[in-house]
Amino acid sequence: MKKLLQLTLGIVTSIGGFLEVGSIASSAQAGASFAYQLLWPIVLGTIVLIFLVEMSGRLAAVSKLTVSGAMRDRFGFDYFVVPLVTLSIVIYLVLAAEIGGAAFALQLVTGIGYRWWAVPVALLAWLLLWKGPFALVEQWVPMIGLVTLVFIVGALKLGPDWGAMVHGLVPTRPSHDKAHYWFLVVNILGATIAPYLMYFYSSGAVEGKWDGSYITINRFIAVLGMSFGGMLAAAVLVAAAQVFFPAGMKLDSYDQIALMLTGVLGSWGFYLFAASLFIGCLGAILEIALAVAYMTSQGLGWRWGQDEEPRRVPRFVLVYTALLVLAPWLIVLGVSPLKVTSLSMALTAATLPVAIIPFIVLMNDPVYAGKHTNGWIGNVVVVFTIVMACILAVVTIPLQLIGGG
Amino acid sequence: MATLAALAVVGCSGSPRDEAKKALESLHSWAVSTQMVGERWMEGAVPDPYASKALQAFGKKVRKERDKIASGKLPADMKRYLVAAYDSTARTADSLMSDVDKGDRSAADILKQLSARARAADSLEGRLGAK
Repeated sequence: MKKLLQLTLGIVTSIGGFLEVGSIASSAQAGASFAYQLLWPIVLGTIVLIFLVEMSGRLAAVSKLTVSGAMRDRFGFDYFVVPLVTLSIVIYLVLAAEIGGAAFALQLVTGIGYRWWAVPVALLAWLLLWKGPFALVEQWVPMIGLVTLVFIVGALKLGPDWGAMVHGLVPTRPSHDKAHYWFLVVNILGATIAPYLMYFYSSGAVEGKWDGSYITINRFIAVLGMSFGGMLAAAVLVAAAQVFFPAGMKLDSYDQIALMLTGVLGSWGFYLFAASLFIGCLGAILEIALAVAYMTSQGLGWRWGQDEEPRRVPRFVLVYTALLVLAPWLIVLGVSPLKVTSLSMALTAATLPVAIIPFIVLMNDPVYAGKHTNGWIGNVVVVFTIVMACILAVVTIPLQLIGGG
Repeated sequence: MATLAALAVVGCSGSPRDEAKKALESLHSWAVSTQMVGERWMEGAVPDPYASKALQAFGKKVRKERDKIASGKLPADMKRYLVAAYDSTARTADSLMSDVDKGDRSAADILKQLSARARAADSLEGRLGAK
């Protein structure tokens, strides 16, 4: 019964972890510029994410180590410091983007500029982390995140073109704006295959004291949860394809994206969009801040745990506190939240090799995966992802310059 | 007439034509965005603070793009046409914003103007694309 409950919660958790500002922005921009043509990177990213999340959970259940703990243990500190520093820099930008998204959601409703909301949003996140147990982040925030289902309702009510959707599942060459097309592909993949999700998920598994008996439930959570998150991102793209593409609107600001559901759901569409943006971003802020705190503490051998009293894990608390103090300033200084989001998603894609290469070693080492080492399908997916990640790392910066807009 | 002349000039060369096409696409997008905010506001689907803030932001972005075009390398006739069209779109956004601030929901004329501007940009863009 407990595991069944965990399955449900795991699926719900994926909403907070998956549908955040990066997914909303990149899917909406893709739908507005290319209608259904960019559904395939969402599907591709979701499949890859299912495999990687499943591996992170399996690793944690068997070895009782998180991904970063296992990385440090297997490759030593000298290697570990590379992903730690690289990912921390990129994750800082992603965190700033999420704070910008939540702040913008508040601007939509109140009319008070988003720059004024950045610090209160970070403070709220910090208070939730300081006062709340892990279950708050893992279960309650994502439970409220069910509001994001409005994208599926909206997409269905807009009467999508099912034939074009099926065509969009197959990669095709763009008929116009080639650089922008590929830039959006990179952005969608960066938003979907977010490394912090894997660090957060494996840390959650260790906090939840998973053991070998969780292998099957972990598989279900990864498949159902991430598919559900992917479906939400696809719904955003479909809604944008129905509303913005025929109108010839290019999305350069969240103000435009906020109109997505107003035609079909009226003022409910507006307020539920703002609520979805806020909750999705808040969930992501909490998960990202914790993921970096976990990664740093586990890698440096510090005591860690969200269920511990803060005074018992001071350095763990210090990491997420420092992050939440530093991250809002990009937004306070007036950098456009949508621009920060685009840049951070592209850079996330660029740093994927650093995050993913260790998987191929760890998941084939019986010391860490026991008798649950990867099968050939898992290895093919990881190798494919590594190759794709390396290509993305090379093309991201030129695409950002040419197609980033 | 000036527009057609400009079209003829930019139609001959690759890069200014692309630049003009992009500028027209963007003009169309901002005109439609402004129109959509106005329509939704008149229907009561979006709140006043949002509509006011969004229109202010659109006006600002349109002016920023207008400045870029003004200092760009487009042929003079096309530049003149685009700058005027951008200026006019920005003014319309301002005027709609002022209606929102006053709570005057009878802005149908402004929306018609925006619709016409978006259609004009669209048709010019189509002709550039066909060249």
